[in-house]
Amino acid sequence: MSARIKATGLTLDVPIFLQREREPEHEGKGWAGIFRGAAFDPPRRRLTRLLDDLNFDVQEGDRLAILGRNGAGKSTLLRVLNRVYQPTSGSLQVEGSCQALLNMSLGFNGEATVRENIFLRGVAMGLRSSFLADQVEPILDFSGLRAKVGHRLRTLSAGQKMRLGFAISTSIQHDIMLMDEWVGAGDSDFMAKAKERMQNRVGGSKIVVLASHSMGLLRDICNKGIVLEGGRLVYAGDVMGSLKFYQGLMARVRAAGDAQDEGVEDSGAGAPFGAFEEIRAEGPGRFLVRGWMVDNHGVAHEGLVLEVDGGRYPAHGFERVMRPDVMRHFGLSSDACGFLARVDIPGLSSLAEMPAGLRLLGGVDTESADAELRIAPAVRAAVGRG
Amino acid sequence: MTDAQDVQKNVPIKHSARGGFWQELAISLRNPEFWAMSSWLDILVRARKSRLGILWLMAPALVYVYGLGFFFASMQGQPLAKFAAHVGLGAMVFRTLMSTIVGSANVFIASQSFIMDGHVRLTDYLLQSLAKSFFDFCMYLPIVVIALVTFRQVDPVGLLLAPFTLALLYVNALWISAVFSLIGARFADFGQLLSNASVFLFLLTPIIWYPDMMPADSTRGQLMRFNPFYHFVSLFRGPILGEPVEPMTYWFLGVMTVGGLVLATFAYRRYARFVPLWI
Repeated sequence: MSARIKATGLTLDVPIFLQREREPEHEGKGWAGIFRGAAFDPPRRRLTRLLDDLNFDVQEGDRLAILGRNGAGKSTLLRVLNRVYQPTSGSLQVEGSCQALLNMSLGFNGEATVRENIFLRGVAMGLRSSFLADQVEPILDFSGLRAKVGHRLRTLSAGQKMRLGFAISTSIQHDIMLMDEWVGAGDSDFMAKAKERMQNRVGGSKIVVLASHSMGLLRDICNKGIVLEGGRLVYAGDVMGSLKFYQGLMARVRAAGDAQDEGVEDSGAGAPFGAFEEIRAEGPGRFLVRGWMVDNHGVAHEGLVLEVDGGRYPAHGFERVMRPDVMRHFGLSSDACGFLARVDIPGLSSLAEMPAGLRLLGGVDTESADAELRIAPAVRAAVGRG
Repeated sequence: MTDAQDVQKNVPIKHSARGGFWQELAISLRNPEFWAMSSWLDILVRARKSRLGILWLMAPALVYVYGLGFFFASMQGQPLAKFAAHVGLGAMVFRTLMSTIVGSANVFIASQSFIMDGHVRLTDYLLQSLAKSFFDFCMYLPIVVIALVTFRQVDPVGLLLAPFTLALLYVNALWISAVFSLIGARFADFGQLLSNASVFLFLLTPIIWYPDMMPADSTRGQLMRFNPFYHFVSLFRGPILGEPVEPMTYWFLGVMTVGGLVLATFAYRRYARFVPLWI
């Protein structure tokens, strides 16, 4: 069976409840007024248009990126595609079995055991219990919860619940996969497994729809993209064009005054990504690092820290390097995203003495730098031979 | 990685576009796994928290039949054996219906995470609340059987009629849960209202008293006859204990069943799609 998603004039109106904003001068000062207002003001009901006349067509083999600021309607659109919200008007055609990886820690019965919850979630996904009986063991293995099988679910940690939810949700292959950000959190051992499983699932899906702010991820996975703004479709095309359009949009938003716009602040602006491409010894205790780094809005930052054996060594002597190749790849608006910087590590005289587990972390400044840049094979080969 | 999961034939075509009430109900009945399992788990979990386990679930029946029954039997000068059977059958029908109603008013909100995860065949959740109330019904059975055995004047024909009355009861429970669950999803305080009203309705229904204390021409008698629970209880209990069933009861329940099912069909078609937005 072929898979396809076709939306024509898709519109969703949602009733929302507003609390009346009171004039401050009528109100008692401090918290008393707030609580009195909360107690006696009934909320008002108003219709809000979350999605406005969307038209798009996703064919088999497409990997669709949904871009947009916070509140632009990305998650809502995924819920509509998952058939949770019915469109107010317009039509939506979804062919193929569909699995959404939206909130995986939910949908459990906290008092039931892990094994019972595997069955509960499985049948809620529409699987047969006879089929699930064979799946219990692989799911337990994958989530690493074999020792917990008879425990009540509420005794598990949040991370363990997430692992269990992930293992169940991804236990079978569907035609269409809907994702809100890339899933997977937990210890590094589980992350490695989760990454492999996700790549398999994404590879095996006929259609993938991924909403994310992470440009590197979208560039890696998707081939098509749409950009939403205020519930409207403002761009549709290939993923490069979409990323470029989105970054243009973000640049205009920043120029218009980023202070009011919380979308810029909390949508992962402080989460740069990039590559650590080269490391050279420049003299005793001084090393030169080269690579590129950009955040999810296309802004290049200058905070770099080299982490060696758990010690943080801030970089200095930061130099910009033009990287038109990176700009083209991600559809950036500027090519000033490469860097060349120096790190002093007293006591290390050569690269051969550098331990292999080094990481280059990027961020807005050296204090807050915590995003690991991808390490190129050349760096790996250069260090840790001593 | 042990991937036995690429078994395409086991991959269901999960949610087709939403159908009408009866169509979805038919699919739910053909695929009972989700609602049967989730309601069973809810019940087990309730019992598991305590040391006495499933025995606790029988406690309400014991309290009603032999606690309240004993107290009010002596107050009204009735023999306990007769009064216990009267209270037992009445309370059993009342609790079953009332727990369906209260349960269904909250069922969508309680199942929020499943609904938001894409399991949107809402009839599944209705059947889940019916299954739970049926379990409550079964928990009454042992005590009621004891009460009937000690009463010793049970009408065997009435007993044969009981399953049919029960079926009618559940047809009504179905539409009630469909309508009330939609109202409960839209107005979160509806469940609260119902649990408050349940005490009043319990006392208004002739469970711990006899309906002949309220003649039809009195105001109180009319109030009693406006109470649907009265009709359900008397239709179920009357034939078994040899108590009279008023002709009005048949009319009342007949009209209510048909009217309710029609109402549920329309309400579900019109409002079911809003449920994910409301909760």
